[in-house]
Amino acid sequence: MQPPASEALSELAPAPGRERIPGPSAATAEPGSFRDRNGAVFYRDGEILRGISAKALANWERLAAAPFFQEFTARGSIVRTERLPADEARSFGEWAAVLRHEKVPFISYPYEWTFGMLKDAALLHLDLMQAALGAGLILKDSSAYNIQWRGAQPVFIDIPSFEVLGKGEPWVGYRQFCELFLYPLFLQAYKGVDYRPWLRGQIDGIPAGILRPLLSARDLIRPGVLLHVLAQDSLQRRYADKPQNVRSSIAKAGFDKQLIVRNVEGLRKIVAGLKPGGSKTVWADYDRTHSYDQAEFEAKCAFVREASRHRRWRMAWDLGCNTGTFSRLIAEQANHVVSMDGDWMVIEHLYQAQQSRPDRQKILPLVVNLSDPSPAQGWRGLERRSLPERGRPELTLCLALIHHIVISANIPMRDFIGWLAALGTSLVIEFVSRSDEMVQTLLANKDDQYGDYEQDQFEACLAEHYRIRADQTLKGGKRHIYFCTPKSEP
Amino acid sequence: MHSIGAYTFRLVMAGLIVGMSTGTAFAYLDPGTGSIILQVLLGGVAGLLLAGKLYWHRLLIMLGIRREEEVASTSNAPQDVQIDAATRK
Repeated sequence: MQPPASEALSELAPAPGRERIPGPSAATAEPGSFRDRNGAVFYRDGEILRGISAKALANWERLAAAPFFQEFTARGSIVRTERLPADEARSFGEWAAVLRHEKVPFISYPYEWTFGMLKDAALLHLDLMQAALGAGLILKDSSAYNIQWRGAQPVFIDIPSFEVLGKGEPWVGYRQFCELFLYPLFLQAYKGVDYRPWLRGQIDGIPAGILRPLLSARDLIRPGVLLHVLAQDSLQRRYADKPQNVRSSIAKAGFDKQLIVRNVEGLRKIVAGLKPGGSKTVWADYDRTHSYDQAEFEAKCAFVREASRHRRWRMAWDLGCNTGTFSRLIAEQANHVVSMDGDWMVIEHLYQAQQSRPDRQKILPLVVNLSDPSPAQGWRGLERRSLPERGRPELTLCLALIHHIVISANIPMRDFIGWLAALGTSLVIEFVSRSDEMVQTLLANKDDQYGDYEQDQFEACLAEHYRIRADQTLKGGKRHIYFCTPKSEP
Repeated sequence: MHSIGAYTFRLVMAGLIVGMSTGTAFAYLDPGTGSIILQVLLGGVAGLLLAGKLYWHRLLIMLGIRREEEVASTSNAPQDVQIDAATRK
């Protein structure tokens, strides 16, 4: 089953296209939840609910009793889910039952994940397949969108995807697993090509026929290529126009669950061995230097920490987060932090580093280029949401970023501050002046058409939308940092 | 890693597998005919034995020893399943 586009939207006003459905109080349907007719997601009073059919209910009852399901849920790898009492569920219409899911802090999409994240999501999917098969169940689809994140921990959210495996049935989601997990990982691991633009470009992933022409003779000996890519593409082409019902034929011939288990084991071995290509150093020794000396850097940290203590934040965004130093600082005062940077290597570094930290479940690292952030897309443009539509923060960090936005991306400073202000959040922002060597580097080979890029004009832009509560000069006057709150706030 | 020989063998097997029966669709997601056939080959030893069994039936048809209907009914027979199950022990 295709997952809802967002399970974190319940605190927002209904987006266009979300229809009201019958219920005890205002409930809105999730427009991205339509592919599988056995269920549908909707929201009510901050809750995420899912109506399910009689068939899906039978599967849920089997799943809820399975020890593996309880174990994975207890360790946070499956979203916590409970069934609404029958009298409460009846008010939602014709569904056989209604499930209530735990809320995921922030919805993200595979085209915003690093290689390590997509790989760990794939491994979780395969682990769930193995466990489910052991209990006579299977995941009927393999959408990467079915996995979300609690900080840096992957969480499976599509409960009705678990169903009882019929005798002789193949793994229906195998092709989808290849297209949304395996081939994107191959693209990065074997060709050194960033898969994110591909996944953003096609909601159903990369078909075998698209990947195959990119592979060289040398790639044919790499694990998984011959069978999972070449053979699959050849067989798909060979049988594309033939009406045979292969599922019945294979079932009659004695296709057995053990064949799926072997396939899943093989895939797990292949995926576990994949490393991101095109990056010799990988992230083990990756540590981007910053242009501050230690004392100045500590002054900056102290300012950010002090600003974050203004109050407790439900959600904070760290835009241009680099390796996440400041994300961790504000995580002390925030329930959740979404850390974004356009450089996938720093996000990978942050993701891997978070795995062993106590704030692992608080910081979600995402690859986002702010000058070209993920758009709303899919059917009617509602299946996948744009960044701000997925839940806005209460605090936004914007450190050492503005020169990239204004000078590298040519976005007018006023526009950018206006966009930040539209988020309606408190803001910690750093102005990087023309005397800073980073700005001079950016301007070295460009026409200087940035007459507005001056501190006084920057402050005037801020003053239009914000009340500046604190500010401080940094780096010997080359930079200046501000803490502001929206004018609308008292 | 798979050798070219094993790959060719599996691919040839794959071409000989497909039966001719019809039925209804079972899932909202199209698993893809080619991808289902491939799953037989990805099923390890049991998968190859299943492929071999299907190939053997096709061969009998080609030689005129057995007719198409017999293959379907033979494949349905419980002993076939048992033979297959026994090979996996």
